[in-house]
Amino acid sequence: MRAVSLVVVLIMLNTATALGVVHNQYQKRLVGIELARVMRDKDILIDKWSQLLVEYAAWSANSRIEKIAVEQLGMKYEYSNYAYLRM
Amino acid sequence: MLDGVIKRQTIWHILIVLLMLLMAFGVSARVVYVHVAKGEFLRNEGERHYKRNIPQHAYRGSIVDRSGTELAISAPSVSVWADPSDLLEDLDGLMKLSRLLGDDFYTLKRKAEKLSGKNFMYIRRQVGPDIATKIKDAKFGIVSTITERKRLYPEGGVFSHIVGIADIDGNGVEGVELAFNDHLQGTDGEISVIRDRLGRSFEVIDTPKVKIDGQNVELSIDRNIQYIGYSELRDAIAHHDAVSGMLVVLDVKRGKVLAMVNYPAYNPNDRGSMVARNIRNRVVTDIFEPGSSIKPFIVAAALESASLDPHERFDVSPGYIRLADKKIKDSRNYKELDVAGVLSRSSNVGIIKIAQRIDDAILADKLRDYGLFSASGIELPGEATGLVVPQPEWGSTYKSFLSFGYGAALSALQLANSYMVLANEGIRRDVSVLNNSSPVRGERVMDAGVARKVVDMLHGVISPEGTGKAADTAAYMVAGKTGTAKKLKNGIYQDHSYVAVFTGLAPVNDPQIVVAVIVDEPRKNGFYGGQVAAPVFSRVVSRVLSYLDVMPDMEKVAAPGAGTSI
Repeated sequence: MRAVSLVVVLIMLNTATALGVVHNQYQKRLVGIELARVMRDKDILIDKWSQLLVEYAAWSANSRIEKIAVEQLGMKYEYSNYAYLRM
Repeated sequence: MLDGVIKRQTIWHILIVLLMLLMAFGVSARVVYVHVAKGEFLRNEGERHYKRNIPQHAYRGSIVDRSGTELAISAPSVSVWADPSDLLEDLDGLMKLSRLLGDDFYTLKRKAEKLSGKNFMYIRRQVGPDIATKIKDAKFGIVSTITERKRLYPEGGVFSHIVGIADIDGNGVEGVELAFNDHLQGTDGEISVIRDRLGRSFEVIDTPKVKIDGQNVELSIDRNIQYIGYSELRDAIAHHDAVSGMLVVLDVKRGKVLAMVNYPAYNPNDRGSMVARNIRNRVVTDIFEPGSSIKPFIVAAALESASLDPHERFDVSPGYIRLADKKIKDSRNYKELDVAGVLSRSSNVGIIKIAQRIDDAILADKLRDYGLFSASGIELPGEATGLVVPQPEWGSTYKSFLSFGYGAALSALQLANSYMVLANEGIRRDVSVLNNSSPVRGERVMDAGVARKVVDMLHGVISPEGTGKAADTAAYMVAGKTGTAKKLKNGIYQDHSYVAVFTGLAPVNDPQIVVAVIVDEPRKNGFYGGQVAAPVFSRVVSRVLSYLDVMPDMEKVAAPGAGTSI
């Protein structure tokens, strides 16, 4: 009788373990899908970031600033004690 | 009767068992056949349906200046591709596409015919966002687009020579892009994934090749100082109608390059506008005869090795001297000059007399030690070594010509590096373009006292009587030397073709920067180094030291006539 009970318990444990493996595999695949999505998002964000950096660099280029300072604001370089742009 | 029944049953039992054994054997044989004989083929066939290898493209690192501002960056762009046979089957579509791209229809058709055996051809790589949108909106059935990364250079021509360029596939071909290509490029990777029936990957099962993104390269160049040098050189070249120019700013304390400018520059974002001769980083690759800017080193060598007394006076009358069949002249007859006067008036007669005192072999060694005519150690590709006749082959007049900068040639960077020896009180360092924290290691090549004396003399060059008075600034005490050399073309020195040079350091009391300015073939508004290059030096020093928050020299600020500070 004891032996039969032991076998039943082992069968139940075996079944539970098998279900656990299946569940884990399923979870792993869900996480895999999520990871792939996040990696795609990461690439998109990197691309967007690089575009913003290019835009930032273009807006803040010295040649552009100088052009605006000289042509629109009428500033000029002063080489006295300090070199600076003055109105 | 009973025996007969039992016998028949036994035979049936045996037959059934044999049949089952046979079936089991058949199944086993099939299993062995499937797993062993056809195993690899079937596994591959199975994997083909659910497994896929996906390439992982590594990002190319950015090139940034010392404050972290991007000078070269990879940004996404769209490339247009098609199956050549699709194009040839839909010539109306090809016609519309060629109109949209502004390409010749027949050129595209010929390209498609040439590649008709393949199922892929690029129609246009890395198109602008406007064209990409038009193509997507037009919904051509025959073309597709893919996203690639295009190398962009936000500062355009200002940094073109030092940053260099990468080709359309992201391989460096010039400048830092080439020198640090391995560091920037990284390594592409690959992953194996399992896909579902809709083609969505849901599990990474293997990583056959790990992707390693490229790393950034941080330069010692300062974006603002580079622009100061660029704009001042550009304006000077326009003012003097010169062919080209070079400018270098070095950080004396750390041995780093703060700015390295060539003009004319090229726009690395517009490959169609590039002219081959403008792509070279001439500051590093080209050599020229330095003219009088070499004189401080002749004086230093004489002070170190020939017991020259700085107060000694030299008879320089009648203002010229004959060397071989040539008459070497000063700008006028100064009659008598001390050593400082020889430098401040840039007397050729005086420097020849000083050079005569120095032993040939010692002078050759000293000039090499000071960094003239030898590689600066910079990490950029194609550095020219200087050109100087080996000492045992010096003729009777070579040393005299060499003393005022003829018969030998060096790069702008080597000239600036040599002045850094004077600024560093005799310590010579290799020059670096990388912004790592450790200063470049140095070694003593000149006596500290001699270096200080020569710098004091070079301050006299900026005096109202000196040839470099235009290099003076309102706020800082500076020191430097003019140079004007006739250009050698087809073995003949040209009478109306010059290289104008000014190289110096500032502030005199605690040098922070060395600046070298070289203007090639000025044709208007003067041609002497003191007229053409010295004013550029003055303006660059004023702006750069102010930008670096270096306090003005009190002697200058307190002097009558000095401008008002903000």
